[in-house]
Amino acid sequence: MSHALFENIYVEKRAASDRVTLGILKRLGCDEPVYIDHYKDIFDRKKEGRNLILAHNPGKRLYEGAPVCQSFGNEHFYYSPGVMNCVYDCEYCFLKGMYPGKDMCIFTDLEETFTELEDLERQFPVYVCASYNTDLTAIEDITGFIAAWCERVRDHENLSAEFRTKCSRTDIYSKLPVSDRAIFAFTLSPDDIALKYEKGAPGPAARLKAASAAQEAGFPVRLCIDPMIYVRNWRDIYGQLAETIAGSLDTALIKDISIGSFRISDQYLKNMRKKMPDSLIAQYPYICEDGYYQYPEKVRICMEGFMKEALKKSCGNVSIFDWRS
Amino acid sequence: MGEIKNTEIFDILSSEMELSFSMKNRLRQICIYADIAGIDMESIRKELIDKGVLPCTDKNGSKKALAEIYDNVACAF
Repeated sequence: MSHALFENIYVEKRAASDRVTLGILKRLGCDEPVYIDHYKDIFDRKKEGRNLILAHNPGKRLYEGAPVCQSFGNEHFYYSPGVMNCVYDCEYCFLKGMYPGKDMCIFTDLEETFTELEDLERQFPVYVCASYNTDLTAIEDITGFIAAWCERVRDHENLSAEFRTKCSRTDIYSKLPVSDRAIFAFTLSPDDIALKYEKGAPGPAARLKAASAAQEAGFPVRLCIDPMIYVRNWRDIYGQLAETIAGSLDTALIKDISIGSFRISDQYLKNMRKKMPDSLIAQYPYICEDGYYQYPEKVRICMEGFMKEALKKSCGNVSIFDWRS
Repeated sequence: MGEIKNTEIFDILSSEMELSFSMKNRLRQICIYADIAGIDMESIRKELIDKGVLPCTDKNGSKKALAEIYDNVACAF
């Protein structure tokens, strides 16, 4: 059974009777999915089209944040791989190096993640990136996971969550349980970068409208100018982006802005170079430091410093984090 | 390992330096990127010849030349 977004829909036999699975199938109008033993039977194949797999997570449900991820000052920083892969096709995304193809896998046992979280919450305040390996907001109509996370965060004082997104939907925020610990983080790129390298994703202006809707509903909004991509006219386009932000949002209501130039683990970059031999981003001769490829210091400092100054100039006193913070 | 579309400049530069295996790989990646980014490697080479950096016959000189080529390409914008 196919769907506009997916060629085929597969369901692991052990996840077949889950409430979440049945809800997703209903929303997709799928009466006859293909039943499989293990999600990896489909997910690990290299192919062009995109399938959807509904499965149980057989591994870890919470991972400690990687050194190149921003923790925003949170000591106990985790991410949850509740959904693997994304509906958007961004050329620079680490998911291209992480997963073999475009298939998306939704782990329907979200409640198990919440149970694991409870143990941690008893010990210390926990900060979770819930939309780390995907864009949860973009598939909210299918999963309802954002609503589930927001409800969880509202009811659990020791839990904060970040939902990173490029989604332009403005209609969902007023329907979600509001909490100042449920942070919607909008990734922004200059128009030129979005057009060339963020296939399938809404444009930056539409994302800013969505950010404004999230602010109006009472959610803290974070802006992520990350990754910054080194291109010929980078100063012009990133300078323009800072002005566009200031002209589109109430900057006093922005929780913070994170900036970071492109960086990626060595293995993911190797995979990306194989997959994309003509990619300006993948084929850049990065410097490898501690297992992570990044721009040479001169470029890094110049780009991140420029962006910081441009944001200070246009957005005033908003808090700015860089990925080394 | 990626593929260089225009191998000529890589071959010429390789012949003008003493490169170890890893340095050769580095140069190859620089050439691949320069090709995609539209950076003129030939004019960079000519500039280094004028400065007396190229050609070089020893490892140290080649390291210095490779570093200059890298700076010119990776920090071109």
